[in-house]
Amino acid sequence: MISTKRALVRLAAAATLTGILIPGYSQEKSPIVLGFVTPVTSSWGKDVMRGVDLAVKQVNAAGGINQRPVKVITYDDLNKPEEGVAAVERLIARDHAKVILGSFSSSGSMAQQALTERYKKVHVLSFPQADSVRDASHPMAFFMNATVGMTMAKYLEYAAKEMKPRKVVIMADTSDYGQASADTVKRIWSKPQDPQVIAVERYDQKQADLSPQLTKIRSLAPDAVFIAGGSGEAVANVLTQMRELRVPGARLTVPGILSEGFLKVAGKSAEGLINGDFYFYDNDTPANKAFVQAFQADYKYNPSKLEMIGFESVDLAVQLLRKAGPDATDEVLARTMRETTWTTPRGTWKFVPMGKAYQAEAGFTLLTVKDGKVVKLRSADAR
Amino acid sequence: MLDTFLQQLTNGVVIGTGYALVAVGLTLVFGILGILNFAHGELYMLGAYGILLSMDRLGFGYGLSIAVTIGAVVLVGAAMKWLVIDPLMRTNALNTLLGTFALSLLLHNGVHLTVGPAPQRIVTPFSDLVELGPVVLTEQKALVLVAGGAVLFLLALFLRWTSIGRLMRSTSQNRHAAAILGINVRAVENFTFALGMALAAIAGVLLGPLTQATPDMGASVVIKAFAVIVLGGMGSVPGAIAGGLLLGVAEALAAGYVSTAWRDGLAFFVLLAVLLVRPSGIFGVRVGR
Repeated sequence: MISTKRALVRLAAAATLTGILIPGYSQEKSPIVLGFVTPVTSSWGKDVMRGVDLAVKQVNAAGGINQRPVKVITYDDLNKPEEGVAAVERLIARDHAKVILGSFSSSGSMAQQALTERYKKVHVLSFPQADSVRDASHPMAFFMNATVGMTMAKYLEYAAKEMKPRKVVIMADTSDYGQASADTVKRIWSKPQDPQVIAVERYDQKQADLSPQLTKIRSLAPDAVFIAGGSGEAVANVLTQMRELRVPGARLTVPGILSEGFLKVAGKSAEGLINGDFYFYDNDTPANKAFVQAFQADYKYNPSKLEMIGFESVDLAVQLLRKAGPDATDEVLARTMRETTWTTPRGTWKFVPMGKAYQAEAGFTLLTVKDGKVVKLRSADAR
Repeated sequence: MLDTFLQQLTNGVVIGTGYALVAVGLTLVFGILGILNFAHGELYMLGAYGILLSMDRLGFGYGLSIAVTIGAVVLVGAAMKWLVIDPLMRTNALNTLLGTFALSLLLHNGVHLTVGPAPQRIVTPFSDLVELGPVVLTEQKALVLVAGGAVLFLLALFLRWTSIGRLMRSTSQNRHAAAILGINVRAVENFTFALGMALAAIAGVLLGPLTQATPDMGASVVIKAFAVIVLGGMGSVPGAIAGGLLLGVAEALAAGYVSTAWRDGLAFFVLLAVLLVRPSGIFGVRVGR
C-alpha cells in the first residue's frame, strides 16, 4: 500500500517537473484545428469523410504542421442551411478553427459564406457547384468543385456534336441545383442550330413514383432526356423508371453524378450512360497516384470525386498552414492561398477569380459506365 | 393521345392502389382504437427494409421474405402497442397521438443509424415488363395491382362476412355497447392493431421494390394516407380504397395533363372539393352537431 502511494507521489512529481522544465512541449503538441461541415450521415458525406480521414492520417503520420498534430472537427449540417450556419459559428467561436472547410449544397454554402465573410475567415468551399454562389461570395472564399457552367459547357458540346439530338426534354429536380442546371442547359442550347429544349418536367427528390412525368415525356418522343438532379440516388431512380417505361432517347445527366453509391442504386440502368467530370481516379500525376494507392489500401475501392475533394480540401489547408505558418493571420492565409501554385491529386493549379471569390482550376474528362464500372470514354472523344 | 391517357390512368391506379394499401391499415386502427398512428408510415418502411434484408442478407426467396417480413413487422407493432400505446391510451388521446409520433421518429432514426440513409434498390423476381396494348408496366407494378387489389378485396369480404369482421364493425360503431353485449373489446383492438401492422408491411413489401428503400419513405407516404382516409371518410375501409384510387388517379392526370408542379396541388384540390361537398368524406357517416 505504502509503496503504491510512493510510486504515485513520484509519478505526480515527475509529471509536474516535466511540465515546469519543458513548458513548450505540451504547447507544441496542442493540435491545429480545421473545421469541416458536411452532411456526415448521408451517403455522400460518408464518401467525403473517407477522404478527410485519410488526409488527417497522412499529415499526422508525417509529423503534422511544425510538429503539431492536425485535428479536423467535423459537424453534420444535415444538408440544412441553418444547421450549417450554427456549425460554422461553433467552429469559429468555440473551436478556433484556422480554416473552415466543407459545405455541400449551394443554398447551405450561401448561408455559411456570409458568416465567414463577417468573421473574415479563410473558407474552402469543397462542393457547391452553382455559379451564383461564387457571385455572392467574398475574396476569402475558395471553391474546389467545378461549377455547373464549367462542366456543363464541355459536356453539352460533346452531346450536341456526337449524339446530335434535335428534341430534348429536361427532367429537373426541384432543388436550386436542379433549377440552375436546367437553366444552364437552356442557356447553352439557345441558338437555332443547337438541340431544342421542347419541355421541362420537374420532380421532387423524395418522389418515389415518377411514372406520370415519364409517361408525358414518352409521349413527346424526345431524342434525348437531360436529367438535371443533384442527388445521384434520385437520378438513378429516374433512369430506372425511364427504362421500365421505355422512354425513348439518349440519356444525359448533369456531369459529376457517377459514384459508387450511384452505380449501386442505378444498376443496369446506368449501363452506357455518358457523363463527365473534372476528376477521374486514373489521373496520371504523382500526387494522384499516391492518393489513389493509399486510398485503395485503406478502403479497397477506387475513389470518386467526392473522396478526392474531401482529401484535397484538408491537404490544401495543411499545405497552406505549412507555407504561411500556423500562426499567420487570416489575411495572410488568404493572400497565400490566392498567390500560390498548388499540387494536389487533380494536378498543379492555381485559384482564379470567379464572381467575388476564387475558383480552383479544373479540366474535364468524359466518362461512361461499362459492365457496372466507371471508365473513361474512348480517348479519342475525351476533351 | 388515347395511349398516353391509358398509360396515365394505369399509373394513377397503381399509385392509388399503393395509397389504399397504406391507408386501410391506418383507417382500421383509427376506426376501432380511435388513434391516429403516426408510426404507420415507419412500419410500411420497415416492410420495405424487411424484404430487402430477407432477400439480400438471408438469401430467402421473395415469397418467404414476404411472410417473414409481415411476421416481423407485426411483432414490432405488438411491442409498440404493449410498451407505449396501451399505457398512453389509458391517459388521453393527445398523449397517444404524441406517443405514436415519438415512435415514428424512433423507428426512422433507428433505421437511419443502423442501415444508413442511402437509398437501396430492392430487386425482386418481377423485373420484366408487361405490355397490355399501349400500356407498359413492370411485373412488380402488375403485382401491386393484382396482389394489392386481392388484399383489399379479401379485406372487404373479411370485414363484411366473417364473425371477427362483424365484431370489428360492432366495436367501431360503439365500443361501449359492444363491451356491454359481451364482446371482448380488448381482443378485438389487439387483433385490429396486428391486422393494421400486417397491412402496412404488405404495402411495404409490394411498393418498396417499385422505387428504393430509404428511411424517409414512410413519412412521405403516410401524409398521403392521412389525406386518403379523410377523403374516403375516417374509419371507413371502402372509403380508404376509393380515396386512395381517386387521389392516385388525380395526381397522375394532374402531372400528365396540367403540370408536374401542380401534381400535389391539384390532387389536394380534389380533396378540398370533396370535403366541401361531403365534409365527412366519400363514405363517411354524417354526424349532426
